[in-house]
Amino acid sequence: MSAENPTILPGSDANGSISRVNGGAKAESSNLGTFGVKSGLAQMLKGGVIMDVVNAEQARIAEEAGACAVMALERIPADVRRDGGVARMSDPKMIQEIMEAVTIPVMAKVRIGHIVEAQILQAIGVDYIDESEVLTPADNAHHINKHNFKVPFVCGCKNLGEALRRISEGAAMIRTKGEAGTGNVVEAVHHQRTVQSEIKRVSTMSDEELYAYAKEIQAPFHLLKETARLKRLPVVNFAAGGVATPADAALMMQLGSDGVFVGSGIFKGENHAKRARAIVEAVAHFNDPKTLAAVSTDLGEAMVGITISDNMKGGRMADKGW
Amino acid sequence: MSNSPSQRKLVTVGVLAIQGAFSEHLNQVSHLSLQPPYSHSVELSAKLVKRPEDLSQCQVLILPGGESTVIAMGCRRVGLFEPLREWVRSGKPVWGTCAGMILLSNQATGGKKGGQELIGGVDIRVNRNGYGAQIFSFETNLSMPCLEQVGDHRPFPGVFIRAPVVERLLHSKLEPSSSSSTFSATTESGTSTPIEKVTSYGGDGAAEKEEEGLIISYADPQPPTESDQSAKRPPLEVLATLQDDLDLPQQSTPPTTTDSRIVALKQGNIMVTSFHPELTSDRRILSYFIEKVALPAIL
Repeated sequence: MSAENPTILPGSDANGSISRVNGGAKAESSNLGTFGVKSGLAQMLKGGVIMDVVNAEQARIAEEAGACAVMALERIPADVRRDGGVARMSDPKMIQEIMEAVTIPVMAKVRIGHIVEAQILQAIGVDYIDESEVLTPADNAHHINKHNFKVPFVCGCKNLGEALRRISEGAAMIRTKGEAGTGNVVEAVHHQRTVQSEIKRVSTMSDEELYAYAKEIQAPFHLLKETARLKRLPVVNFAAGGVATPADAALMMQLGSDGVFVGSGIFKGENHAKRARAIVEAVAHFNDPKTLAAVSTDLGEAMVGITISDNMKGGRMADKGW
Repeated sequence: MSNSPSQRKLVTVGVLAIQGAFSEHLNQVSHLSLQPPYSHSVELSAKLVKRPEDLSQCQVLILPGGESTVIAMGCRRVGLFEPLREWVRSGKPVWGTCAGMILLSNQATGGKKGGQELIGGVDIRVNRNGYGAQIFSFETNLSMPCLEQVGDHRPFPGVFIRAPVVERLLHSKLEPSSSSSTFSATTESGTSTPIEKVTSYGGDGAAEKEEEGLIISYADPQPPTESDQSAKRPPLEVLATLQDDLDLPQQSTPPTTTDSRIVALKQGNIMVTSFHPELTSDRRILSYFIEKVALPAIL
């Protein structure tokens, strides 16, 4: 835990940078959609579980289980892998049905770099946008300039450099990528361990070393320096990609995650409601093995996990993102 | 000359840590410097509250922001709900921010299907997430005359995130306010509320009633009537209101009435703010709560 609360990053309010490309999405009023309220919502989600849901019924199960938000999408990552083809933003109708069904925040995914999908999701009023490697990228060089939106964005990362590049583009929340749709937590652990160990390294660096390291990991210097000062990412950092059991979720919390995304793990396993609730309790009490034992008991079959390799169906989603 | 720490009275400030932004509150409490006279007599410590046994070690409590439904369910699951209600009933000091404010309200609308449990304590009805979706979250400076008591009353940076809106005050006994010149000592005028027909309800503890498409959650088994509430309850004191000229876009509950512009209140030893002082580096509201509300109540 850092010694002080992260402060609002300089030059990153909604009006800080206005590009012609998507100026149509610029904030109308200076006090709306500031970086403070964007990153602040992520702070409100901490210690919670964000669950992938494909319809209003699943969203209600998630809400009753204690999810702090839901991710509305047409196909969960495991099905994206199975079906192949191009995975895109979900139909706004389905997202709106979920928004009407629950009172917790509703997130939805856009393809990497797809500015217009993001404008559409902002127009229908989703609470958070995930610019996600789980969908097929729309731009193989650029991510969305997220400062131009009032709605906040979460983005995936595999390491500190990628996290800070996304924050520099305006992401108000980060999640480590893991490997979505596998039910295999190994990559989520790898990415979280990587980010945490890089933060530990930079926290003892001099400015000279930080300048050099910023170049090496292709991160903006001012964000790297802020990370070193805070001894954590300047925004909230959740874990994602392969969490299937309460124990997986608690593991990610013990490794320093602020909260957990669970994608395919709940609705691909048995006993959805019970498993969802168990994961919520595991995150809230991640340091209490007795509670973890109790909530892990008698949940039925977890989703069938797959071994992660370059030639698995759907490939390595985590490699998407630049 | 200050007393050694061992001669100071240790006061433990608990921060409910089921879900949400509890570490921010913990950090602020840990870094708070008390002013005289307390700087010489009180030693503060901060503690996360995850279980009933944690709560029993605290003298002061903070309910953080987060998702109020998640926090309520989590409290119920670990057996914290009744101890929290007992805390409030017994008049111990507590401050709720955002989700914490919802939980400390006696009535809430806009909750999930089936209603949600409230701890209760403050005679207000709030509309959960009343400003609308996240894109209507905003920052604005707030004028808070009460902060004069802890140094200065420069505008306080108000950070509102999917914040609750006060729909109405549930009784009319107001502190003739030292705090808000814009507020008159009456709420009777059919101010605001879109739902007037609250007559009955069922359920156990978390009573809820669906009226005209809205779900109202109650904290108490008996809905308060305004007359007997006014007689027995401490007065409501308004600590901050949104500026009249604050220009917010279209919202589900436009804060056009006097009640719905209220964003900070105190009733007895309970303080609620619909915004998030813990997300800023400004500790004046925490100072006010600790030094002017909590410590006088327990020392």
